[in-house]
Amino acid sequence: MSEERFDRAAAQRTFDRKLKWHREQAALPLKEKVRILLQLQKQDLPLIERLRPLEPWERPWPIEP
Amino acid sequence: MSSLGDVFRILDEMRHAGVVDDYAIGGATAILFYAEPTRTYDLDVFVSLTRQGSRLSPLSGIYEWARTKGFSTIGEHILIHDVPVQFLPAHNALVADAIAEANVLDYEGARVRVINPEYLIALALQAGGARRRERAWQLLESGVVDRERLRRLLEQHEIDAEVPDDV
Repeated sequence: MSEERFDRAAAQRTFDRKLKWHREQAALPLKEKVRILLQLQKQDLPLIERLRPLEPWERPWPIEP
Repeated sequence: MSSLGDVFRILDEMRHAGVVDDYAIGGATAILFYAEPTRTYDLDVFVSLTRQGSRLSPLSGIYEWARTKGFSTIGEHILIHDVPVQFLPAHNALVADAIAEANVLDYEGARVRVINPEYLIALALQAGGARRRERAWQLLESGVVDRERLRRLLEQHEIDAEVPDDV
């Protein structure tokens, strides 16, 4: 097997794993996805704030899933 | 503490009270119902209206109703149980159809109208922008999209975009 073919196969495997992960995330129970969203809101806010001023409504939702 | 279901219940109450003719959730919150979670800080709600507001201010009936319910506003957003909700009037045929054909789903016992995946992609591609295209791609990857239906929608509404079969 040439190095080029090996790399292509490895890239395909990585792509397939990513697709599988995305589909697994999509298939999570809805309430779990909302919990992840609430977590992402908290996690991303400091990063966004470093890049640009926040809009006044951009803040984590103070709710439970 | 309130829950997202409480927010959805208020939207349905608004419909029953006749404040809006109909509504449907769009944007990243709608995508949650079909694909992997994607971060957003507001909830987009598309509404069809016939009687409320004026031509210059079509959403004024919604703001008035929200005020009587004790919900405050930040700019254009109404804080429903502290979740910023942006109401968007049906400004073209694609949005009007997306609202009319929304899926009626259940979230923790709350009835909620959610734009279906094919319309979500068509709306994202019509509005444009990198983030919206990324979300459209996420929906395609999730495997829930009827590609033939999507192609028909794009053609019907003259949206120039290719729908790949291998995603």
